[in-house]
Amino acid sequence: MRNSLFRRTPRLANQPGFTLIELLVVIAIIAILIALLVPAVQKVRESAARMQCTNNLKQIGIGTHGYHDANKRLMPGYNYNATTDISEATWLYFLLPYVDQMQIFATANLSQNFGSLPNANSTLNGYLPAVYSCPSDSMVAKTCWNFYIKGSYAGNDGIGPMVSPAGGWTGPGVTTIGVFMMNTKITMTDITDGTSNTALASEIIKVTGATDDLRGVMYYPEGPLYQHNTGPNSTTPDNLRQGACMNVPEAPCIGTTYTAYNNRSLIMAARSRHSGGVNLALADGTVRFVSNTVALTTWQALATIRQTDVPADF
Amino acid sequence: MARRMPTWVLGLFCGFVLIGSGCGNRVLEVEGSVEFDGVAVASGSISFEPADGPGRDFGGVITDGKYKITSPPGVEPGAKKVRIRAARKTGRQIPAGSPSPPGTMVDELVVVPANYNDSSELTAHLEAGVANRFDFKLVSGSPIP
Repeated sequence: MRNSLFRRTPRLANQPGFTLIELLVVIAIIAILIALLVPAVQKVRESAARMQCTNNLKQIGIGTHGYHDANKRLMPGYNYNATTDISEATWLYFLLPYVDQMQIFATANLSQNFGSLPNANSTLNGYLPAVYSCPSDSMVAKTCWNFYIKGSYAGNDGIGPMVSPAGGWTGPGVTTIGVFMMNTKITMTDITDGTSNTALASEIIKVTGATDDLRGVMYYPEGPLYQHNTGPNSTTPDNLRQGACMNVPEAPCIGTTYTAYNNRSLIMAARSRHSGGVNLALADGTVRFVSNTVALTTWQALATIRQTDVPADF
Repeated sequence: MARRMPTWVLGLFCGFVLIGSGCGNRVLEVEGSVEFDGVAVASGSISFEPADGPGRDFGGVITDGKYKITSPPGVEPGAKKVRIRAARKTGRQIPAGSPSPPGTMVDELVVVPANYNDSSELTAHLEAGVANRFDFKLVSGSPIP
C-alpha cells in the first residue's frame, strides 16, 4: 500500500497516471510561479497608474502653456479681492478649458464665492475631471463638507506658509514667491530663474477618514496649492486649518494653528502614493520624478521664480 | 566532493551583509518636551532641517507637550534648524467662516511667534546612535530667552 502511494511499482510503470508526490510537486511549482507573478502584476499595475499620473501632469503643464498663449500671462493661484472679485476661483478652475473641460467650466458663477457652498458653484466643485485624478491616489476620499470633491494635483505656491493678505501675493507675510499665488498674473518671462528650474505643479495625497480635510480640493485655495517648505513626502506634518486635518502616516498634519481664510498659515507638502517620490511638472512643461531624498535646498530652489538660485541636479 | 569555500569569499559576503544592514538604515532619534507660555503644547508640529548644506527635513507631531520622532533612513546627523508650529487656545470660541458650514465654531488661538518657525532661531545638534533630547520653552511676543 505504502509502496503504491509514493512510488510507482515496476508493474505500473508503463501505465498512465501519477503518484501523489508528483502531484504535490507540480502544485508546489505552480504556487511558486504564481507567487512570482502576482507581485509582478501589482508592479505593472502601479507602473501603469504612475504613467497615467505623469501623463495627467503633462496635460496640466501643456494646458497651462495654452492658457499663457491665449491670455499672455499665467492664471492666478486663486483670485480674491473684497470689492472686485470674491470668487476665490483657483488655477485649476481657470485651466479647465485648456484640458478639454469647457462644459464644467461654463457652469461656474464667479460672482459667488467658491468657498460658500451650496451655491451656483456646487456642480463644479462636485465634479472630478479624469485629468485631475491620479489613479495611484484613487482611494475614495470623503467629499469635504459634502460638496468639495478632491483631485490629486497642486500648483507651486512657493515657500509658505500661505497667507492671504489684502495685497495678495505682494502683500505682507508673503515670503517666497512661487508660480501660483493669490492674485498672481505673472508671465513666463517673469520666471527669471528659468522655466526648467522652476516647479509648476506636483502631486498631493487625498486622505480618507472621517474628518473634512481640504487637501486636494480643486477649486478652493486651501486644496490645490502646495508649498516647498518641506521635501516631497516629508514626515514633517502639514499645517492645516483648525478642524480640517485628518492625520495619517502617509500625509501627516496638524490642524491647530489657524482658523479661517483671513488668518491662513497653510503649509502643504507635495505627496504621492508612488514609492519613493513625487511627480513634478516644471514650468517648461517637462515632468520629472523627484525622489524623497532630494536635498531640501534643491527642492526649495525649485519653488522660487526669481531668486537666481539654480537647483542642483536632482 | 564538496569543496570548501575560500575564506575571502566568506569575508566578502559578511562585508556586504554588514554594509547592507548597517549604514543604509541609520536613523536619528529625538524626543523632548515643548511648552508655550509655561503650558504644555496640546497639539503642534516640530521639524528638523539641515542647518546648512544638503539633506532632507523630517518631523513629527507634538502631543500633550511631548514629541518623540524617528527620522526616515538616511538622514545625516549634525546641526539642524528646528521649527515649531503650535498655538494655545484662549478659551473663547469664534465662527469658523467659510467653507465650513455656517454656524461652525472653532477655538480662538494665540500662535507661536515666527521666530520659532518661519524665521526660526532654534537649533539642535543631532547625534547618530543616541537618544537625542531637546526641550523647548517658547514664549509669545518676545525673543528666545
